[in-house]
Amino acid sequence: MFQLLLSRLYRMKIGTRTAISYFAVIMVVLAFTTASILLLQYGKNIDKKIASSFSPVISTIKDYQYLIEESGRLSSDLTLQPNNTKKLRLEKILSRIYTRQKLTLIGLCQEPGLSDVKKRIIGVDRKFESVMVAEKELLQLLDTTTAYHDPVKIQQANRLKERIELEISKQRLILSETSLQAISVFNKLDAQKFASYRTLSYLLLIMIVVIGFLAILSIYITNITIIKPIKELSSILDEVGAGKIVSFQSYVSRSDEIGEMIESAQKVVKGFKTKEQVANAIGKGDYDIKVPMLSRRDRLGKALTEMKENLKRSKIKEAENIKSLEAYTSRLEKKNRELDQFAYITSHDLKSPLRGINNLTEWIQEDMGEHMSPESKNHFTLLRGRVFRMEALINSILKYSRAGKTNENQEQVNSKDIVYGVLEKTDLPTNISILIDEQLPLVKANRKDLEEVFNVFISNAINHNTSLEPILNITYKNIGSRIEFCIADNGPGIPAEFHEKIFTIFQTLERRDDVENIGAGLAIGKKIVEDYGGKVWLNSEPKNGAKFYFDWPT
Amino acid sequence: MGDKIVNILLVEDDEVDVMNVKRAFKKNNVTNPLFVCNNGLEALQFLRGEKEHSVHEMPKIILLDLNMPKMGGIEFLRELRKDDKLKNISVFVMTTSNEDKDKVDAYNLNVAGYILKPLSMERFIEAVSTLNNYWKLCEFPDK
Repeated sequence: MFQLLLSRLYRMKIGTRTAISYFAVIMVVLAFTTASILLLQYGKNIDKKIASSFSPVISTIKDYQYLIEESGRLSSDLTLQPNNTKKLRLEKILSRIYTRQKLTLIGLCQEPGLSDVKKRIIGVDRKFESVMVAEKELLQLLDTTTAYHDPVKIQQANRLKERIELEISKQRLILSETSLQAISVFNKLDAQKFASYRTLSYLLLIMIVVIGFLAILSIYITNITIIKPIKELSSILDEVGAGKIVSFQSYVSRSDEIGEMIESAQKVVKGFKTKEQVANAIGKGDYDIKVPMLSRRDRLGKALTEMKENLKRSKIKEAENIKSLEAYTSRLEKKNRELDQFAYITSHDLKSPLRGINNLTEWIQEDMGEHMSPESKNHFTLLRGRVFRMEALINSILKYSRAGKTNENQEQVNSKDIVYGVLEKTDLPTNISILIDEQLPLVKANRKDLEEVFNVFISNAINHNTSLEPILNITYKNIGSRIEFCIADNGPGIPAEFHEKIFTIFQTLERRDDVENIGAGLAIGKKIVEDYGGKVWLNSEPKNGAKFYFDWPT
Repeated sequence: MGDKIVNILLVEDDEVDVMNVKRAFKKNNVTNPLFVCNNGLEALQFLRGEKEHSVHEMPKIILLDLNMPKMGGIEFLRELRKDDKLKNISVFVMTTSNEDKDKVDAYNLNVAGYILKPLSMERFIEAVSTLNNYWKLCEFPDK
């Protein structure tokens, strides 16, 4: 029932609803006012009636009764002794006063409620007519003072008197009754009046209650149909405002202003929701998605479209950059390979003429035998020495061009095994002291690569050590996911200005004629270490030995 | 075993190297007939009889250089092993290439040995002497 009322209310505009409720209140007040006025009028009418007829009727009945009784008293008195005044009074009553009084009384009894009273009075009057006849007879009988001495007349008069008294006492009884009847009618009217006033007070009470109920009902309905939905909507809009996009549904179908408001809010939220989805898609890289525009004035949509276009452009640009970078990298890699290949092929091709030269000099020496002067012999020895040095240089180039990370056979290698293996293959001075950490770590490497690196640094530490008691010290440190090896010696040390130079291929610090040294080892070691993502450096001062460091992945 | 002298084919482009081999043979008293071809293609033609020569006996040993014009040693080996008539010939590689790849390729093609040409004459003579002793010991199929 209530639900039906509510669903009907939801179909009305709030303006209509307000108008209807005002109208209803006004109508209720109007109805109650009219009823009150009618009731008041009713009471007033009764009052008027009482004032205009009922009160006079009662007093007039009394007067009338008194008049009849007076006439009876006068008749009785006159029967006993003559009295002129009383005689005159009686005559007056009989001739004029009674009739007047009777007519006044009947005139007062025109109200419909008094018809019974009127009938009774008319009945009394009829009876009194005969009394009046008897009284008139009495008056005639006792006309003179002499009559009082006449016993017959007196006797007659006494009889009349008795009749009159009897009749009057009867009339008095009837009139008393009539008077009582009139009083009861009067009381009844009074009661009616009070009843109407009581009704009026009840009506007022009811009106207050009804208006109060209407007020509470309207507050309740306003609360559940207007205030509550607005509060819910505002809390949802608060969440939307805070950035949380929640879709919501009105649980009743309504076509009032609140319904329109909810619909607008839903549109806003839906707009946001689609924008959110589109923005997510753009974020995930879908640049071909179409941004739905709510209208031509949809600035968020425009901004999203622009953002998407910008992202697309920068993505394309980025892809181009990556492509060109990739092309550049592959070109660079190709060049590097070509360079290595060039070094390899060149050194191969250089080697065979060199061997030819060597062979030919040997044959010349052989064929000439003793015919060759000692000077020429010396020259030939020098010539062959240069040829051997050139071969060594070419071999170094070959080795350098081949050095670097070998991708095959990468495994966990115990660096201790490697170090000991290298030391075994190295020509060690007899008085050398070698100090190696008790434990050396496992590292990830191609065994040959790591061997070459240790070989380079160990050979370097031994070959250039001019100390009488040479020392070789190999230690390591854990640095995150890498191992830092240190190969230290107590040799002559290296001045700081040469720290970089020594790692360049064919750079030596001494004349090759003094120390036959190609100067490729450290460069090869550096190349391999750097290929494994590490670096090579050294700490050294002249006369204080040198500490060579390199790091290696584990 | 003196009656079992086999023909030797030297495939070598460098004239000095050819002289080197001949000289080493002489020093070691190796008397086997030595034929020379300057590249792989020429050697194939020689072995298949496509070139005018008066050899009635097929060489049983080939000394092969790797880096040569027209057809290199590895390529020549591949062709040789594909040829039913020639695939039995023993091949010794004599080269300056110290590359692992070359060694692996050569041994995959069934070479009898891989010899690095040393720089000095002396050591080469030693090598040839050893070779000579080696193939004197070897038995070869008659045809």
